[in-house]
Amino acid sequence: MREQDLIKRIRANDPRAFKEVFDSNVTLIHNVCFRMLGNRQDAEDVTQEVFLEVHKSLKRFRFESKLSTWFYRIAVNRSLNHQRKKKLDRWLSLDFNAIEEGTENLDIPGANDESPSDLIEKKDTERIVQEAIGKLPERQRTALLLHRYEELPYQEIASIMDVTVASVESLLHRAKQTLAKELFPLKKDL
Amino acid sequence: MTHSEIQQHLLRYLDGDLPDEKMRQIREHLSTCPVCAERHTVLASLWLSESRLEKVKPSPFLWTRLQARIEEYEQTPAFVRDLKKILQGVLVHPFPTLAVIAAIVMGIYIGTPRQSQRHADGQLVGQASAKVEDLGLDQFDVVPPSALGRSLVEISSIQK
Ligand SMILES: [Zn+2]
Repeated sequence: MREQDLIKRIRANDPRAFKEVFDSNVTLIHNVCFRMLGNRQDAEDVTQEVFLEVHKSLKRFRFESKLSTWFYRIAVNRSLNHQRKKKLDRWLSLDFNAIEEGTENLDIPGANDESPSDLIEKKDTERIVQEAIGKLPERQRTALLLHRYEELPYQEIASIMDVTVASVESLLHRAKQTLAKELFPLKKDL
Repeated sequence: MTHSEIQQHLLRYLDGDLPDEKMRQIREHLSTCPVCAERHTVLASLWLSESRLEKVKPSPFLWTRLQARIEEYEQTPAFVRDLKKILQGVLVHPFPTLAVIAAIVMGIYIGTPRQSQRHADGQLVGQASAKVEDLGLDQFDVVPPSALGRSLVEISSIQK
């Protein structure tokens, strides 16, 4: 109901309505972008792009899904596009090391206010997990991020990714199997 | 289940994301197999201790920057925005775009008559229009229907 009121106000050109949409969704969108892209700067750039698109299209939103599902979908697609473009830029600049790793500026969430030894341990753990997730195929990675970090139900992930619930389950199973194989040697090498 | 099957399922086991029977089999295996048990401990230390629900706060200036971009967007003429969009599309999907361009170039190449073909076509058209003039076909409305049929037969015989 509240969402419908907001859209109505946006259609009536109420300037405060878009700010309300921004305030209540910015953390959600920024987090998805951050998880998809692995660093703050890219996440902020893409978050801006997402809201620019939301601003352009919100008046035409038809409530075929929840507003948040639509936001997630735009955020996921924009992040994937951003990543593809970056990868291509690296190819064009022949920076093959960065193409291989793809995780060159990995930021770690919440790694700010802890003691140095805790921080090193935490950074290692998070970096290992994030790097391994970053190497998964696009669709497996998207499903896993929405499930693990956004805690979305399979049905909503399916709607965001435009696939069936069974496909989401299969993507998640394959992602976890791959990670179970990849994570162990990474931790052992520390 | 073999050791490798157990190891493959360890993250799903840690998430409790397996049928009850499989959960039980793995639990039993881990209590007797030190190799898989070690792997289980290592994976649990990573998978369960990662602070996955910690949210990353966006910069407080994001709204101001967004407003500036919206203003810039609204002041840009529509055709410039469309052009930008196309260029971005080319950058994000370069291979399909290259394939389309290659297909268009090939189409133009195949569809353009060669020099000799053009020459032969020109000759044919010249002969046909001379015949049309001979027969007075350029004054179409005065030609009786039967004469028209005969003339068409003659024209088509030129092509053989
Ligand atoms: Zn074993």
